[in-house]
Amino acid sequence: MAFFKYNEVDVLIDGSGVAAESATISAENGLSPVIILGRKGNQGQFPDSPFIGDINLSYLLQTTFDAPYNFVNSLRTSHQTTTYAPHTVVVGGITGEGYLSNFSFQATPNNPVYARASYRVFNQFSGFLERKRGNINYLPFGASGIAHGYSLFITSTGNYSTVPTYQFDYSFDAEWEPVYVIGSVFPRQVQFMGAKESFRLVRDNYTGLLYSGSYATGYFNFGNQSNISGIGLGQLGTPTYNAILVFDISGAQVKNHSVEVQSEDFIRITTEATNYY
Amino acid sequence: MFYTFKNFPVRIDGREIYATNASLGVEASLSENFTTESRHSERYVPTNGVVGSARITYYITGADPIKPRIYDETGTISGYFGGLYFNSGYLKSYSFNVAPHGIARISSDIVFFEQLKGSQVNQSLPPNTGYDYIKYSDCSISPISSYSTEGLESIIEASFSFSSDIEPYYTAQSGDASDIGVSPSFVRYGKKEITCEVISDNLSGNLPFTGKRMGIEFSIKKPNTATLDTFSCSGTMTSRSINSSVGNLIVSSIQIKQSMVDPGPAITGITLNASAPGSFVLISGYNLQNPTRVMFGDRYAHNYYVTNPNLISGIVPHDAITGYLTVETYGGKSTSTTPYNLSFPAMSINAISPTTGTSGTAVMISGNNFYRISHVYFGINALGSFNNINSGIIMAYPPITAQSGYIKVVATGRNAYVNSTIPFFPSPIITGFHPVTGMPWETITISGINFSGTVAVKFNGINSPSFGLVAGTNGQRMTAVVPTGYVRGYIQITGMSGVSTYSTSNFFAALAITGISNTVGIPGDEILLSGVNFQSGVMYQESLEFYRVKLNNVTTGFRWVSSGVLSGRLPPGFISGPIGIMERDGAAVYPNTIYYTLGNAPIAVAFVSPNRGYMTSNYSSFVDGENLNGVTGIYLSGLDTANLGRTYFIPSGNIKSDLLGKRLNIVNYTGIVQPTGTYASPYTPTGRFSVRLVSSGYSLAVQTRSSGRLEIVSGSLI
Repeated sequence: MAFFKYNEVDVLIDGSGVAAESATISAENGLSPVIILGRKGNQGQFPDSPFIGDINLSYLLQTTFDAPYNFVNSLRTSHQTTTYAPHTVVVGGITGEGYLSNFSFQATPNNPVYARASYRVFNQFSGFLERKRGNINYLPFGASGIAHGYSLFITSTGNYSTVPTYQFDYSFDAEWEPVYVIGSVFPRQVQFMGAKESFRLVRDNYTGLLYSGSYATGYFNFGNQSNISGIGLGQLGTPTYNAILVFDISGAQVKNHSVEVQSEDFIRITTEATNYY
Repeated sequence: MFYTFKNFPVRIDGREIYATNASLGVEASLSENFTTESRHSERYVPTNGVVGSARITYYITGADPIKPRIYDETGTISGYFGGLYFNSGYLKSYSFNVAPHGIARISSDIVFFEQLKGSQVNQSLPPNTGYDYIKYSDCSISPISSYSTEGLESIIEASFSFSSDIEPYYTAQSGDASDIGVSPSFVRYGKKEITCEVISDNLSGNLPFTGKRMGIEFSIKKPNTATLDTFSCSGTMTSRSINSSVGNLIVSSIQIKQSMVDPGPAITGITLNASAPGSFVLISGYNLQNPTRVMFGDRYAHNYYVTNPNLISGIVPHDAITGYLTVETYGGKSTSTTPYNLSFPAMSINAISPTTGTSGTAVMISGNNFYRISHVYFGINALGSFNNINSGIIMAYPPITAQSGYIKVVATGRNAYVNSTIPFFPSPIITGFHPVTGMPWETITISGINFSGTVAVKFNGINSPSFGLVAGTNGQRMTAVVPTGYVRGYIQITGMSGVSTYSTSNFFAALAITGISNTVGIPGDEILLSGVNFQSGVMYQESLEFYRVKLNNVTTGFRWVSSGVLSGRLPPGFISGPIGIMERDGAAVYPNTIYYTLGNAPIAVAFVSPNRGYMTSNYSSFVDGENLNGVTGIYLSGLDTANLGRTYFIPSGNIKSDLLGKRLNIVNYTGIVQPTGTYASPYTPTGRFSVRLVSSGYSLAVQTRSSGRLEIVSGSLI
């Protein structure tokens, strides 16, 4: 029986290393007990629903490359109506072919950004526990490649500006539909059905909320910056805008706007905008 | 006291049913009985018997014990539910939904026409984990291949439903004495039908107004086992729809209805009274009633009779081959486990007509037992096309590679063949030949079809001394040697049957001049032409032995010496140029590169005019002779009127010769100087002058005499 320490385990997405803080794999089959009239207890447990697996990762977000971010971006520019290929996610040698079901992070000043990614797996996991192979560079650009809340910025028609925010939350949730045919255990195809994207900014600026809604691009104005097209993350220090993660907010509409005051704290205004695919 | 589900075992026909739900009910058909002037009724009278129903939802672990009741209408169903029981049950409905995951679960509805007997019993059985329940993920659903399979490929969901009308009939005092009227005297089955709905990804609205024959089969299996049971629905697609909604897949739904419900057939034996097609056959088995088709291998049997559900009698189709017997009914299909064996009467060919022809000619082959014909050959690997009209006639069409010989008819399925006793001779056709001209003994290549069996090749009716097929061309090319003689004309090929064909264009025989005895000469010189194919049929014949030769501007006859030599003389009037032999029809001259040059012939003079008198100014005269066309100048000497001797040179510009060189005319010469003074009286007959003609290499001087005779001063006279 092998015991591996955390630093002896590879975590990969599509072959690229993920600087994971935590990684979990879970799987569940659809066993249900058979209970019949006239007999006590259950007569056995048999699958009554499909196999479902999940892989959850929490990792340091890097601005130079991030597989979930890349998928979200590709979805934004090219919404396929045919099937998407799954991503190969490996944790300690256990491999699953997963579909990104959730990607989220919270950026606060003075803190590096940790992202969370969840993959839904419809086929059985493969592989076996093994030590890291030692050929993966998890931080190819070192610390300077890590996204940091200090470098939160906005983009507006190609211009970039830092913004006074307390917090920026982002989440992406996708819905996948596996198609099973009679006689098959695993899906013949997995269809992308839709996704929801949420942007949540905590600031000290109150704007109000319209009944009919407002587009986030015109809603979030920072001083003389209007018609903002995206919110982005850079590295700690002076952000180099060629190594950034920009989250396009065009199409998102403000859905929620709240004000919170607590003793011994600043007044905080939280604005949430959502977009759907 | 209340009991739980654990105290409610369910049995059907004595077998435990693994039910998840069960409900029992009985209902009496009662109606109020009103009398006149009464708005109330205290009496309820039965209007029909008591009808009970038992509805069960249950799992299956293998073949379902209730399912045979779909087809088996004999006997009744007995049911036991936790102590309560009935014995007069009839299956009224049976259904299940098929989904990718989950355990197979059946819902059935049994009607019974009696009171429930017994009472609830406090009993409970221990768990039994020894059963392996059927899971849908181990089962399969597939279209029945003999029907349309459209839309039945990727099935994500299906449902199967059976229903039957059950009608009880009561007679007076039917039933037992304790419960009069409860039990019917008899029960009749009414309409039965099976309906299926299939959900798949096939998006189509194709549905003919007559419906479309479709069928699916659902097979119950366990992992790594054979099929335990099947549910089939073969009937007509009655409707289809396409559904799409936000958040869901686009799916197609097809409904199939089967209104003739039979149990699946089974063949247990085949008895042939003889082993040949056309023999009488008995097919024994089960559930053979209402067959939709009976097939011997791939051949339908059209003559069969259903004696009873266990026996079909019929005739083996005449064109059947050894194979497996299949009986198909509305309940399904059964194929024999062992093949039936047949022996076949031999084929024979009595006649073929016609016995010759080209590709595309319809050749009628008459004979016997022409069944399962697969090939008709017109020679080795020369496969023709054909129509098997009936067992006695085949219409066959020879290919372009057909060869002379017997026609072979093959029936591959019966491992049989027969050759005709009469050979077939394909008619040759010439499509071209190359080269289009040739010398005797040269070889030309002839293209076309059906050259095999050629017995003769002729060039303009003259037999070629040698000919043969070019290997590897399937009789479409042959070579032939050009014969000697007048071979200009059509090439003819004659086949074995005597049929011949001609080329569409002429073959041109060629001759050639290969040499000449001399290339320079003067008229009269002998010339020998040597060459090839100097044949009478090739050259233009002027007279018996003489053939026309064209020497540039003149023609003459050359005498035939041999097929390689002509002899003749250079005719007068010849101007240097090419010479050739005129072709027979006079239209062409066999080209050659021989150039004959006219040599310098000696001048001869026969007559000078005037031949006496004095030279006068504007002197003109003519000179007759031979070879005068080479004269380049004339010296004229004589006495002028003053009797003084003069000599004048007349240049070639004042000398005109005819083409044959027989006359020179001296014209417009004004060089003669007349003396001054008195002329003598008209010339005296004694005056004379001399004429000297000069040509290249020759000089002839003649002097006139008073007598008019010419006197040669030098040179020569003719």
